[in-house]
Amino acid sequence: MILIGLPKGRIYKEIRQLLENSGIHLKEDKRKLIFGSSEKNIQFSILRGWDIPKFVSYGAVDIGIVGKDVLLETEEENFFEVLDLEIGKCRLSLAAKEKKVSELAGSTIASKFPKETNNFLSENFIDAEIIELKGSIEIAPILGISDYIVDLVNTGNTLKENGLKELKVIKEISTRLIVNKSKFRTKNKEIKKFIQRIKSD
Amino acid sequence: MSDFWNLPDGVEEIVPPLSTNLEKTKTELLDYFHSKGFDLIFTPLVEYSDSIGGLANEELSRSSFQFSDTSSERSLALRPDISQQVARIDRRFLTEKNKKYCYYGEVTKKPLGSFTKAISTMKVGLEIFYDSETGVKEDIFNALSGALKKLGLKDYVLTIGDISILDEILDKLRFPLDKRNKLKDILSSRSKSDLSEFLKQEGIGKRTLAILSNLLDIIGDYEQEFKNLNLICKELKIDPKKLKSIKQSFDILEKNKIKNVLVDMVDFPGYSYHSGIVFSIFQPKTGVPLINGGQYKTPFSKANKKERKGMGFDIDLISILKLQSK
Repeated sequence: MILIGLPKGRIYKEIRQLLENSGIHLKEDKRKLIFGSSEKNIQFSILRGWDIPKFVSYGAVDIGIVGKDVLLETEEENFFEVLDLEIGKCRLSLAAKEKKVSELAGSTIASKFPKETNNFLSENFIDAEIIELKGSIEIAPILGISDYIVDLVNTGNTLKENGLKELKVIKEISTRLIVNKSKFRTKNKEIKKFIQRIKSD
Repeated sequence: MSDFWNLPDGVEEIVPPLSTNLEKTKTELLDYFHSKGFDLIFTPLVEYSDSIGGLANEELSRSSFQFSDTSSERSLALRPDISQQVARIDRRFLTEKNKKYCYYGEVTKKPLGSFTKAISTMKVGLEIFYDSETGVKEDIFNALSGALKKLGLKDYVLTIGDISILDEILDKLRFPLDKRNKLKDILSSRSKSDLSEFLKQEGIGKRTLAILSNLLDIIGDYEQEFKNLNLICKELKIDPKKLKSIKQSFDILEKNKIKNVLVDMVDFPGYSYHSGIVFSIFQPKTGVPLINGGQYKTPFSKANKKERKGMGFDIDLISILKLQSK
């Protein structure tokens, strides 16, 4: 039996479609936290995306499906990132109202992704202050608490609507399949078979 | 003062029945190892930060809790690992003979991710130091097989790899030495997209990506994956003798009736001082390895002007006993 953690929210539908295309039909039941599928040995649980690396690291679920943006920020490390599902594609970008990339030094940057923002600054030898926010990042420059933002950009419409310009793509983001390191060994055949099915779609 | 009695995360008091069981199991294992010719030794809990771990100083020092000794004004570290301390004891004897040691003790290491918050645990282990490898793998895997029986560990999977083959592959690919640590981090995450991005950034060609991607896929049944490994080695014109060590290890494991052996060519268990065969034992009910081991060059082989090597393993006794009480 393998248990797979799926993220709530915008990419759930895409993941469900991907599974359907691979011949795995979910038997969703709102009353149950863990539900089955058309495959006897595969069960699913819907979890908060940000918690999925933790559930996988602890081996509470064998496999997790989660965005690369979450993986970049997690402190967990007891999992393998075995497959890029190439869905839920977007980009982690630097944006600002009027500022340019060259004016980053000494500025303030609001982001939900402080770890990756810090990596970007360090790699470019830039010293700037990162303000960690949990949501509504675009409002930070408008209300004047930051000069820039680092956030996920899909179509760019939200940025435009808030008078912000995308200045630099920091990282391309897509949905990844992660597997607990121990479970990848102890349930090797079952997990590899599942990955193969998803891959061949 | 409300948290006066609280302990730091990852530190625990061990009470009955776990404490009694721990003492009993530890004694059984050490008696068993002693009966197989391993001498019991005790190593210090505290060392100087700038020398802890010998050749693996940088990594072990980074993982250790450190504090300052006000009298000597030197920085001290709590040991995160015992194998490298045993290697120092071996160095004292300046011998060419094989020396066999077993040990028991507490190790503490800094938590890296929140998952690894178990910063303090009890390890039982053994090491053999040698100039000539004859019989070493047999002794190690025989002792491992005996220990698994004593522990009553069932449904386990043993993964085996060989760091020297990976190094040989990287040599053949002329992979830059200064980029190898970063590469090994990526390989150990098994992320092909991160690998592709990294190689692209470094301007390294598609052939390297194809070969390393194939290497990432090598995790599975010994028979099949050994063939796949052979194909990679053939393509790179690596001497087939290089695969002798992993094959020999598998044969010894089979002779010891250790089943469920998987080949995993990008497993770097424990600390990265290993330089040859590496192995780990996993169990389906837990998300962490319960036993880690492998071959390594000893920290003092240069000073001794001899290529002295070590091989051993350690057992995370508390994790195993907790698992069995579930």
